[in-house]
Formats: sequence, C-alpha cells, structure tokens
Amino acid sequence: MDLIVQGIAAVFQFDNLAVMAIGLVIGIVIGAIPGLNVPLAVAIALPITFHLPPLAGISMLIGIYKGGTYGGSISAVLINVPGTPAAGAVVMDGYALTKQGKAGKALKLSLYASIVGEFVSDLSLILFAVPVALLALKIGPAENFALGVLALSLIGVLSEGNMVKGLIAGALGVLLSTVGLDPLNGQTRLTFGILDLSAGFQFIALIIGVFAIAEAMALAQSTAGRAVKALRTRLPPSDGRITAAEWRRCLPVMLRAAPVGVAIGAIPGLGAAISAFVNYGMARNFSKRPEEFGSGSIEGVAAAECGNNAVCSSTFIPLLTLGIPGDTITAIMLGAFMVHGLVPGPALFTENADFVTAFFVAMLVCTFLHLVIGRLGLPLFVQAIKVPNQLLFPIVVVLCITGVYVSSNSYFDIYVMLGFGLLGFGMKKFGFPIAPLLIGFILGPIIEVGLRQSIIISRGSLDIFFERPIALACLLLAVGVVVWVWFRSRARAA
Amino acid sequence: MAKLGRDSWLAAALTAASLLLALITPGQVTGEPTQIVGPATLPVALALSIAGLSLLLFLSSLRSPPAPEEKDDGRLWPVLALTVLIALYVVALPLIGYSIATGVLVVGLCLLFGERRWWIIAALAIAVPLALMVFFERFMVILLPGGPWT
Repeated sequence: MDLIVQGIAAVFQFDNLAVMAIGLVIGIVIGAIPGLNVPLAVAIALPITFHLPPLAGISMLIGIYKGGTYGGSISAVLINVPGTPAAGAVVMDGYALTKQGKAGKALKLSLYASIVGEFVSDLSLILFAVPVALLALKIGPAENFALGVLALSLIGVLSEGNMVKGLIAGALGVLLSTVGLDPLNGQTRLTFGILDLSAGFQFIALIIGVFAIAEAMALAQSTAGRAVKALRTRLPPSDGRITAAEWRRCLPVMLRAAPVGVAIGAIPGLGAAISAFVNYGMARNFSKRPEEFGSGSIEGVAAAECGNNAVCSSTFIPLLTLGIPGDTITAIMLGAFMVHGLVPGPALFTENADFVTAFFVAMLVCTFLHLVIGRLGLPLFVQAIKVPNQLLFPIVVVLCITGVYVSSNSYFDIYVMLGFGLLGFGMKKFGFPIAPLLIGFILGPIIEVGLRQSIIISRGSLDIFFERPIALACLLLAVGVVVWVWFRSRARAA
Repeated sequence: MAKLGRDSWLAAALTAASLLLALITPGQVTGEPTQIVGPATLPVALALSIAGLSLLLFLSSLRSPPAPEEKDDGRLWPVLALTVLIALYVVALPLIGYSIATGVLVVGLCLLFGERRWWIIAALAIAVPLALMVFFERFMVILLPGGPWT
C-alpha cells in the first residue's frame, strides 16, 4: 500500500505531468503525419529523456507511444491518409463516416475506443503481467503460423459478398510481402534485378498508395479540366454526437477487442497493425450489420481503434517481466530503462518495486491525460472538413510523397507508392476489397517464417501443428470461421 | 458467344499473369535451393492460388450477367496526368531540390484538381513547401533533398 501511495505521489509531480502531456501532443502530431511513425518519434525523444529523472523520461516516452498510436487515426478519418500502418484498419469506415458528414462522430469514437483499449491494456499490465508473459512465452513458430492462418481466414469475413475477389486480394497481399530478401536465409527473390527491391516493399508506401493516392486519382478523374469557381466546403457539417444507441452497439465491440489486443500486444513481434485488422475482422464477423462495414460502420471504427491502442501497455508485459521487448518501440524504450540503471526482467519487480509501481500509475494517468488532450483537440482537428477538395488534395499528395520519402530516404519508394496508388485505384474500380490485401501483406512474413521454421524444427514433418495445443486450436478455429461464414452466406442467400 | 464483361477480361488476364509468375518465380531466387520449403515455395504456391481463384472468377463471371459499369465518364487522362506529374517530380527532386520542385508540383496539382485562382495557387506553392521544410528539417532534423540553390 505504501508503494502505491509513493507511486501516486511520484507521478503527480507537475514536471512529470507536463512532460507526459508534451509527449502525448508530440505523439498525436507525429502519428497523424504519414511517414513519421511512433518508433521514429520515440527514438528522437530518447536522448532528451536521458537528461530527465527516470520516471519523467519514461513518462514522456509513454505519452509519445500512446499519442502516436492514436494519432494515425486522425488523418485516416479526416483525409483518408492513415498516419500509421495500424490506422489502415480505421480508414475504411472512418473516412466513409467523414464523407457522410460524421467526421466528429468518427473522431470521437476513435478517441474513446482508443482510451478503452488503453485502459484495459493498463489494467492487464498491472494485474496479469506475469501469467500473460508466461503464456506469451509458449508462442513459437508453429503458433505464429497458426495465428497468422487464423487471422487470414478472417479475409473471408472481410470480403463477404465477393469472397473470390477478397481471397485474390489477400493472396496478392501475401505475395507482395514475399518480394525482397528471404527472411530465413537471405536469398533475394522476385526483385527482377532491381536493387531497391531487395528490402521488399515498405508497408507505409503500400498503405498510403492504396488509400490516399488512389483517392486523389479518383478525385482527379472527376474534377480535372473542370474549374471549381466557388470556395465550397468539402463535406457536410459534422455530426459529432454519439447517441446512447450507438454506445450500446460499440461498447461490446470495444470490450471484445481490448482483450484480443492485449493478447496480441503481449506476443513479441506482432503489434498494433495486426491487432487493428484482426479486431476489425472479428467485429464484422460478430456484427448484426456486417453490410455496413467498409461504408461507414461505427463498430468498425471502434474495433479497429480499440484493438490498435490495446497493445500499448501489453507490449510492456514481456519487457518488464522477462526483459524481452515486444516491438520496435519497447526495444527503443529498453534503452531508456538501461540508461537510467533499470534492468527489465524479474529482478526489476524486487529491486525497483517503487519504480515499477510508479510506472503502472504513470500508465493509467497517461491514459486519462490522453482522453483530456484528445478531447480538447477534436474541435481543432474537425476543421479539416471545411477545406475544399481542390485546396486540400494538393497538400495531401505533397504530404504523402514527403512522408514516404522521409520514412526510408528513398526516391524509389515514392514510385512504389505511385504504383500502389494505381493498384488501389484499379482495385476500387473492379470491386476488389482493399482490407484483405493489407492483412495479407502484414501477415505474410509471420506465416512464412512460422511455417518454414516449424518444418525445420520437426525435420520436415507437419505433425508439429497437431502436437502443440495452441497451434491446433488456432487452426481448428480458422477452419471453423470459414465454415461458419460459408454456412451463414448460404443461409442468407436461401 | 456472349459478350465478355470487364470482370471476365480481368479474370482472364489475372489467370495468365499469375501462371506466368508461377513459372518464372523459381528463376527469380538467387543462390541454390537449400531447403524443402525454400524461398520460392510460398510465392509459387500463392501465384498458383491466384491463378486458380482468377479462373474461378472467370467461370462465375460467364454464368452471371456483366456487372453495370461505373459511371465515371471513362476519363483516364487525369489519372495518367497525376501519375506523370508525380513521376516527373521524383525525377526533378535531386536536380532542383525539394522547395522548388514541390512548389511546381503544388501548382500542377492545384490546376489538375480544378483550382484556378492564381493568388491561392501562388500562396499554396510557397506555403506548403516552406511549412514542410521547417517541420521536417528544423523540428524533426530530417534533411529533405537539396538542389543546386539550396
């Protein structure tokens, strides 16, 4: 009890709260700008935190992490440009809501869903850190492969109504992820002699291309050669109210998405993007209105955003308990811990119990501050809908190109983005869903590495997938999902 | 023979392209094959899967009536113009630098998207590159391409 009181007192220092708030604002701004990602912001802020007391320094990084993970959804909802890869899931329904004049509602919902996800994740970190970490340790290549297959099976759900086109898009996504260096033995493949392709396609170039550039192409098609004389508001006035009925629809979705996000965050190597897409697919699967997904579903926004932010604290579970960073951001933060003489691992809980308690309190306080700062910023963000298209889109296109360039310092990636813009434009015209393409691209390496490592471990046998209970359960669940969706679509057709 | 819809043509082209990809993929892997499930296995399997699915799409499109075409005037020149504009911008970036190339790009984009008021175009052409340069170079300490004058 003394430790908790000390932790609360340590966190509620003005300096701590101020740097945490600054971190949140920086994170939200960086997250909203395409090409600038959260790991980059954390890495840039890292040297600053060396000059701060340990708790203040770590609090600032937590603020950047949480703010940045949420910030990607702002540009996704308002201008169809996902600021971060994870925001690729929220863009599909968030931007559709904006086009319907519900930008305020979509932004509010994405903020509240992020907060619910973060809060559940904070509680999970505090209450279940050790058992969750032990469970995460049981995840090996076979389980990774099975989890990937389970998530991919949701493609069938995501593309319901046009299953074949959805499956083609999903397979194409996985195929695109195989371009470049082979993840196991370093041989290059499908590069066609182009050196720049050795590192494969950058996800940020893919996601900005298929959403923002494809949208710009569609707009150019309708406006080019036709002068826009009057300065017209781009979209109808924003409907920003979330009704009680909408809360009743979204709350169960969030409460389902948050634990899934926590579990995904606790498994090293997965992360926010996978959580967002898996939760989006699950929400559609369980929804009573699946037909709304992709054309402005509030449940889609809630699930994607809650799943996205639910990984924020749970990625610290393997870091704090075992000393294993769950993703790039926690790997960078491991450096911050070490510089301050804090060595993550079981000993941290005994030797630095006061710090650990204060860290847990800081996580919760940061979530509350995130709600306050995010809510205060909403009226400002929503002004973007008042900018007419002919002024907004030149800025968006330049921002996209600059973002892709700075993310890799490569001119080639701008061409890649352009190519994916044409692909997204074509897919839209021919009725192919975009979501399976993105899910396939994200999950491709996990599935391939999982499959090949499992086969190497079991000396060429597939028995490994039947001998490991988590892997077997995931594979059976994947089959179950496909069969259930097939039966449901048959029943609807009848 | 019934008139083929655009889905049928697309499915036929996809089938052919993915079969071709499956054929050439093993030759697109550097080094010698080292494992049973090697670097080419998954890409070939995926290309064959896409070929199979595309064939399925082709067959189903023959059975169902062609989907109504979207009314988008069929104008492809604006898409081509945007593509060429961005490609030229990338070529120009290392030659004339970020600030000038971006200013010119903004002018082109404004005209393409229907803006005709010169003072607004001029203001955007100056403000957008300037704001982005200040943000990235001063605040984020990320250098943007410089030209002979910058």
